[in-house]
Amino acid sequence: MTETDKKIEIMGNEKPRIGIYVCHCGVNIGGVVSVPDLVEYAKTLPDVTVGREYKFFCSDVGQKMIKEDIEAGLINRVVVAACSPRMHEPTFRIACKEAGLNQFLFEMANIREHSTWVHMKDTEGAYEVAKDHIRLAIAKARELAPLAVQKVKVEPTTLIIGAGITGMNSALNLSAAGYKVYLVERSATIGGHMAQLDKTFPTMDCSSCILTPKMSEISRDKNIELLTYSEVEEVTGYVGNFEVTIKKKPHYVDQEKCNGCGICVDSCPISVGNEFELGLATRKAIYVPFPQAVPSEYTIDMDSCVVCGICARESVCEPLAINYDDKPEYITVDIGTIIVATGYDEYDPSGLKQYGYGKYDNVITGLQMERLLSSFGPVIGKPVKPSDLKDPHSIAFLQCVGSRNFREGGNKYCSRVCCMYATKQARQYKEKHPEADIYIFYMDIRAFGKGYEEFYESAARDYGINYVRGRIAEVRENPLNHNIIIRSEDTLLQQPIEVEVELFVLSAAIEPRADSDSITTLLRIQKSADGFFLEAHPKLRPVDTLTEGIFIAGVSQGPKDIPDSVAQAKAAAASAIALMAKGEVEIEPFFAVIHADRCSGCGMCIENCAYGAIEYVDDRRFGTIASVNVALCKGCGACSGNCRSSAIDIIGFSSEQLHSMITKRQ
Amino acid sequence: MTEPIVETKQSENKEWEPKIIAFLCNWCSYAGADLAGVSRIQYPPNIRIVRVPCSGRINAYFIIKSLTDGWDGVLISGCHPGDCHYISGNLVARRRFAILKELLEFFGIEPGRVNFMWASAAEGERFAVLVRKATEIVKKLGPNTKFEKKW
Amino acid sequence: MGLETVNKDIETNLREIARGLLKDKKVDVIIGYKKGTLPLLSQPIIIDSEEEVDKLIWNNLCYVNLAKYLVPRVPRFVDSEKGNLKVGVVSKGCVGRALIHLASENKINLDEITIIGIPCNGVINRQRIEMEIGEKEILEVSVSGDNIIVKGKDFEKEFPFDEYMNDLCKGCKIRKPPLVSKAPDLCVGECEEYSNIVDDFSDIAEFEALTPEEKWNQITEELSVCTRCYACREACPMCYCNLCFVDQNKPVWFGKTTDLPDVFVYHLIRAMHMAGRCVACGACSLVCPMGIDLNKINRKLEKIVKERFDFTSGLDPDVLPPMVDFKMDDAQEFMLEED
Repeated sequence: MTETDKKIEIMGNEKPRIGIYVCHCGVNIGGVVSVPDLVEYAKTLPDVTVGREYKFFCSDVGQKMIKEDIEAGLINRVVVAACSPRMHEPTFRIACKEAGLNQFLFEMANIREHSTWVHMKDTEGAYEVAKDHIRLAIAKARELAPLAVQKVKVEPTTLIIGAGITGMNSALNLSAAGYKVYLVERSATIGGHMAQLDKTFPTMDCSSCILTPKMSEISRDKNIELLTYSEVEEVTGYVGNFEVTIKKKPHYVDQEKCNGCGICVDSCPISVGNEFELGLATRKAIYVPFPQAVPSEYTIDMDSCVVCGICARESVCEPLAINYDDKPEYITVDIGTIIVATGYDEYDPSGLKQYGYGKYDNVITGLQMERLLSSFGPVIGKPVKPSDLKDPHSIAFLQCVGSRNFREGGNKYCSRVCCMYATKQARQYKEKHPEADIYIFYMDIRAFGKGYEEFYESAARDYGINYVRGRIAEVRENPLNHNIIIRSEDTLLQQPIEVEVELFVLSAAIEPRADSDSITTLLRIQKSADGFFLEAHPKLRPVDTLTEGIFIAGVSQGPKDIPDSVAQAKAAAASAIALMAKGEVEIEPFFAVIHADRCSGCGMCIENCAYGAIEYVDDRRFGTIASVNVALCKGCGACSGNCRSSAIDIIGFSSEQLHSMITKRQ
Repeated sequence: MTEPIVETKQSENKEWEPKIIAFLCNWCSYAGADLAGVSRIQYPPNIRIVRVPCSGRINAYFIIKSLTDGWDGVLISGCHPGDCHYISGNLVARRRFAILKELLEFFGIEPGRVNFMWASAAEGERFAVLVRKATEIVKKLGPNTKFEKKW
Repeated sequence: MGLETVNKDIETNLREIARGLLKDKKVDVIIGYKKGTLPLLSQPIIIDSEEEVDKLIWNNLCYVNLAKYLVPRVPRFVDSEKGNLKVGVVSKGCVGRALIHLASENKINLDEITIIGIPCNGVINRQRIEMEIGEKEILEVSVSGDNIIVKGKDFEKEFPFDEYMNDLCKGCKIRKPPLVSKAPDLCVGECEEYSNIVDDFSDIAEFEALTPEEKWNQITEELSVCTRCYACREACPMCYCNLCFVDQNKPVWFGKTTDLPDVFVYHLIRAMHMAGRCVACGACSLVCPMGIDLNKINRKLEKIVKERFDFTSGLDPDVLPPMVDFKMDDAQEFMLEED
C-alpha cells in the first residue's frame, strides 16, 4: 500500500473535518453576495475546520488551495460553494483524488445557478439562500463515506441511428479508427435529406456529387454493417454495455436472388405518391427510392401493394425473387456507444391558410423546389408550375414559414438554412432564366457562414434578385391563370406592395422528426424546449447527451447546414472513440444496498424496480429477504422511496445524508 | 434543547418569508433549475434545494420530517411522466404523493404546504413560474407552527 | 332472528367444520377465539385436537384479527419434523381479507392455510360501552334480540347492537371471507365472491367537510391521549416489519415521545403505510387501552384507494396492491400544475 493509499484509508473513517471553499466565480457570485461573510458563517458550523474564498476555485490555483489543505491533513471532507455540481463536480472530484482524498468525500453547494443568478436584485435573499445551501451541503458532507468507483469495460462497437450525411460521416470516422459500426437507417436507402438536394450553397457543389461517393464508401466499408430498412426496437444496459435489438423490416424481395433488372417496377399496376419526390411524382408499390440509392435494393411497400401476383410471375421476375411471406428479422448486438443522427422533417405549411399551400396549385415548399431543380427529379432539373407544367416567368420566395413564430404552438427558433437555400434556388433559376422576376420576401437575411455573405451579396447585386423586406400578409390565386397574387409591405420603402407571380415557394421550417419521442423513450435522452434532442451543455458539450455513452449529432440536435452537420458528426465520432479507446469507463458507485436485518421480505422494492435489479433470496439468518444485483442497479431510489423499514438505501443519497440536510438539529 | 437553526433571521422591518425545502430530481428538475439560473430568470428566494437522483427516491419520511422540523413548505419536482431518466421512478412516486397529500389534508395539515410538480431539463421558465406559484401558496398559509412542542 | 340465535348457529357450524378438518387431518392446528378473562374481552386460542373444538366460540366480541398470528417475527407454526404446519383460521370477512392480502405480499403461503369462513355480524365497540357504563364494574355481557345486555352488581343496561357496533363494522361490505378463484380449496365454511363493491363513504363525509384547522384540532385532540404503547401496531396483521419505522435509529426520523409532533407523526405515517393494505378489521381501535378511535382514518384509507385506483384490499392475491403498482395515466389533479 502506498503512502497515498494509506491516507485515503485513514481519512475516510475519522471524525469529519470539513473544508469549505466559497468561490466568487468572478462577479457571478462575489458581485451579488458577500463571499467573506459566507466563509465566516460556514466556519461557525460544527465540524468545519477550514474556510477559504477565491475568485475561481475551478482554476489551477484554486484547486491547488484545496489540495494543499488535504495534503496538510487539515481536512478530510471538501465542500465547494460555487456553480452547479453538474458543471464542476467532476473537476473537484479529480482534484480531491489527486491530493489523496477519496473523490466521493466531496460535495458541492450550488450558490450560483440556484442563488445569485436567480436572485440578482434581492441580495439579502440571495445571501440567505447561499447560507442555507452551504449549510445543507456541509450537513450532507458529514455523512459522506469513501467509495470505490466501479470500472466497466466498453464494447468497441458503435450504433449509429440514421444514415444521412451526419450518420454516414460518423460511421466513416469510426471505421477509420478501427471500430465496428452498426449503421441503422429506417428507410430503404442511406443519404437522408441531402440526397434530395440539387446544389449546395455557397459553392454550388452538386449535392449528389459529394454525397454519392460517401454512400459508396459506406457500402464498401468492412467495419460498417449497414442495416437499411431497419429500426432500433429496444436498448437496454448502460455506457459501454448496451444491448440493442434491431428489427430488419421485410423487403418482400429476396436480395440474393434479385438481379436488379427492374421489370417488376414496369409491370406493377399500383402507383402511389413518391415520398422522395415529396408528392411531385409517383412510384410503384415495388420500388427503389431513387436511382442512386444505396443499397440498390427493391422493396415492396406492403401498405400499398394489393398482392396481385404480377411481379412474382416468372415471366416478370425470372430469378423468382419475390416473396410475399417475408417476415421481419430481429438481431441483438452488444454496443459500446450510440450516436443519434436522425435528421429532421420539413414543416408542413398547410396550417397557414393565408399562404394557400395545399389549396392553390402553384404554392410549393423549399424542399419541393429542390426536387424540381434536381437533375434526376420529376422534371429533370427544369422547374415548372404545377398548374400547367410551364416554366414560371416569375417566382416569389417567402422566408420564415413556420420559423420565428412566437404564437401558441409555433416554432420560436430560426431554421438557419432557409435564407441561404432560397438565395441558392433563386440564383439557380436566374442562371437558366435571366429574364425571370424573382422576389425573396424576408424578415432578416442570415448569411453567417464561410462565403455566405458574399453569396448573398452576389445574388442581389449580380443576379438581380429582388429582396423585399416584409412579411406577406396573404396571397390570392388569379383564377384565370393560377398565378399567385401577393400582398406585402416593403418595410424599407415603407410602402405596400402587390406582385403577381407564377410560382410561390415557401421556405418551410426545419422541424424535429414527428416521431422523435420514440427515440427519447428508447434511449432515455431528453429534448430541449424546441423539440430537438438536448445536448449536455450548449457551449462545451454540444454533441453529448446527459446519458453517458449516447451522443447526438446533426440536425437532430438543432437546425444547421451541411458543414456544421459534418462537424458534429466528426465530433460525435471523436467523443465515442474517446470512450472506447480507453477500453473501460468509470461508473459512480451509487447503488442500492440492503440492510438484511431490517428487511421483512414484503417485495415492494422488487416490484418497483424498473430494471429488475432486486430479487428474493433466502438468507439463513433473516429468512426470505430482498437482494440487489449491483450490475443492474442504476441507483434511482424508487425502491427506497417506498420502503417502510428503511431496509433498502441508496449510497450517495442515503437516508442519513438526506436526514442530515432536512433536520433542524445540525 | 437546541434552537432550530432553520428559523429565518429577518431584518427588523421585513415581513415573514416562508422557507420551502425543494427536492429536485437530478436529471430533469435540478437541470431545469440550473437552466433558470443560466437564463437569469428571477424568482423569490424562498426555496432551498436538495438534489435527489429521482423523484422516486423521495420517501414520505423526508416530507413529513421537513414539516415537523419547521420548514414552512415542501416542494417536490421530478420529470414529466413518461420522461423519467429511470423509466418509471416518477410514476411510482406519483401514487405515493397522491396518497400522502390526501392523508395530510385529512389529518389537518393545510393542503398548500406540500406541493408536487413536474419540470424537465429544458423548462427553466416553467420551473421559475411554478416555484413562484408554490411560494405564493405557502406564504398565504403563514408560518408552520403546528409542530412546535406544546405538550 | 335474534342475535343470540344467529351467534349460536355460527358457533355450531364452526365447531362442526373444525371437527371435520382436524379429523380428516386437513389441518394440523386451528386458530380461533375463546372466552376472554373479562366480560368484554375475547382471546385467541390454538387447538390441535378434536377434543378441544368446543372451546371455539363465536360472539360479537371477537375483535382480534387472527391473521396476525401467521406473520410473527419468528415463524410459529413450524414443526421440526413436519416443517410448516397446515393452519386453519377462523375467519370473519376481514380476517380472510387479511390472509389474502398477506399472501399478495408473500408473507403467507395460501397452500398452507385453510380459511374457515364465518358470516360475521359485527363486533361490539367495547370502548364506547365502557365509557357509558363509567366506573361501575361490568360482570356480564350478553346479547339478546337486537341488543347488547350489560349487567353489573346493581345495574342492567341495554344497548342497541346496530348503534354500538364498531364504526368500521357498520359500513362493512365484506362480512364473509372472499373466495379466491385460483384457490378453490382455500375456503371452507361460508365465503363469498365479491366483484363490485359499492361504497359511498358517507360516514366520513362530515369530517372531510371540516376546515383544515378544525380537522387538525379534532385529530390532535383525539390523539392527545396516546401513550405510544403500540397496541394498535401489535394487533394489526399488516404491521409485520422486522424494524418498525419508529424503532429506527440510523437515522432517527421521528421521536418516540408522547409530545404532539411525535404522536401525530406516528399515526400519520402508520396510516400512510396502511394505504392499500388495511382490511378495515378495526382491531387497532378495539385494542387501544386509551380508547382512541382510529376507525375514521381507516375508512379514509379505504376511500383513497377505492376512488383513485378502484382497489379493495384482500380480495385477490394476484392483484398488485396500489402502492406497488403504477399506471401511465394515474390521476395527477393534486399536482401544483397538471400538464
